[in-house]
Amino acid sequence: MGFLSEDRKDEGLALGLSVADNMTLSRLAGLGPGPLVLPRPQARAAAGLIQRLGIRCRGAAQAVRELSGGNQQKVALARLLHHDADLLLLDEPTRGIDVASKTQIYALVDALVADPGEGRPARAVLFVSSYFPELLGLSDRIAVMSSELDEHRLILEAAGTKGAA
Amino acid sequence: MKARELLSRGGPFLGLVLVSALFGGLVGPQFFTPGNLELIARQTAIVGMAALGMTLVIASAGIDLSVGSVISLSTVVVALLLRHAASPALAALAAVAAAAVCGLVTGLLVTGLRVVPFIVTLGMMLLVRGAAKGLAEERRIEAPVTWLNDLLRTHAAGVGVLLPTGIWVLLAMALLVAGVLRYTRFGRHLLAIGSNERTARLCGVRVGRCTVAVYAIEAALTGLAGVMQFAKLSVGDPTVAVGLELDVIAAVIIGGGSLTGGRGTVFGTLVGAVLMTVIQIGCSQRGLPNWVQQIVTGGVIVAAVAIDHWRQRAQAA
Repeated sequence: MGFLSEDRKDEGLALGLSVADNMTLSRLAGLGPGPLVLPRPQARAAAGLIQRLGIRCRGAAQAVRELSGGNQQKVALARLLHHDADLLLLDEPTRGIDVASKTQIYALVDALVADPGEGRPARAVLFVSSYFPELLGLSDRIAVMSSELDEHRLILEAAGTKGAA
Repeated sequence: MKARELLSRGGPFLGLVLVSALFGGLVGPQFFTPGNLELIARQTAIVGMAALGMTLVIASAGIDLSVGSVISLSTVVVALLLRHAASPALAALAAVAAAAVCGLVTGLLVTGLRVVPFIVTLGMMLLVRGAAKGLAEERRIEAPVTWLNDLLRTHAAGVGVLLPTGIWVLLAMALLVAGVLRYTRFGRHLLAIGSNERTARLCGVRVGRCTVAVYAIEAALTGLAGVMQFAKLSVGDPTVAVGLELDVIAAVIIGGGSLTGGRGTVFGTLVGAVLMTVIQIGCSQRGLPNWVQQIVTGGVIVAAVAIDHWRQRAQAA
């Protein structure tokens, strides 16, 4: 299970560290024998993710602080992919980022669900957003939570209505 | 971009070259004789050894103000054990272990009580100093002469291979600590905690465990610095190394460490430590009084941090 925080700067990323460090932080095992983390396998893993998500940066060694908001968000998302989570909780993943990055994130989420990859169980994405159109565009199923109605009551459930907004 | 990257990586080293050149000019070419360079190395060993551990602590956004006290405790432990006819190796090991226990307590207090390390280690500074004085009954402890006393003796006296043994120990530990910081999960976790503790926690880093471990390791290295301090003094002295933690912290900061965490390298730290010794020795060999030396050192610390900030802002823009 992987969680993408809505609070990118305080919770999501270690801004001072490199792109590669941020992407691999939650799963450093396997990047070298025993307790070691070797730069080469780490850079290779990061380079793959940079390409897959179309992250604009000078390289895996660049500090995340220097990237644009959209690219920072993609680094955070890349960490979930590196972690290889089956269930992704994305909390406001498109807040405060540019339109191009938004589109890329939509496409990525779609691809992750549609094609989990060779020999691996299907993935599920729980996508939280306060922007309704993107939910309509992306979701198989939408649940609306509101504290104004009965405490966090589910007031709408639209099943199997995936389609364009 | 290349020039700036070079400046960013080699900044402290560049500073060292400049300051060395300055004193080389002031003192004359004898400043760079092998004997004088060895003197600089020997003078750096104690602060350098303690600064290795401090690099790890500061990388994780911690701080340790009890370094001087732990060093004095360590000298007392060595001296007491030697007096009770323990072997030198055992005495040194016990001193390192005693220091590590101090660090363990610090780490447990920081994580258990959730009190900031500045306050915890301020308390430990007094606590450990008191313990050292109590253990030594407020006196210097004379100890029989053993090979421990030769750790930092000049090679010219016929001990050590090329360099005093203590310098080899320092270099070996430096390589080890640098490797741990750069190439192990523990090291990457320390930097992540220092950069953003909440993120590290959410990424599954066991922050508490890492914190306890880093203070224990740092204190053990400080204990080793204490053994070297004993080698230099040849007595156990509970009043030695008062305020030494500030030199140690300064070495890390000059070397590119940041008190807000997430940064710092062992190479930079050693350069920082050597830089301060060069100022010390350069001033004294030039015949400049102690107050000049202190002003220069203070200026270098402020300049190092100021240049670093300026560079980072330039990079962010």
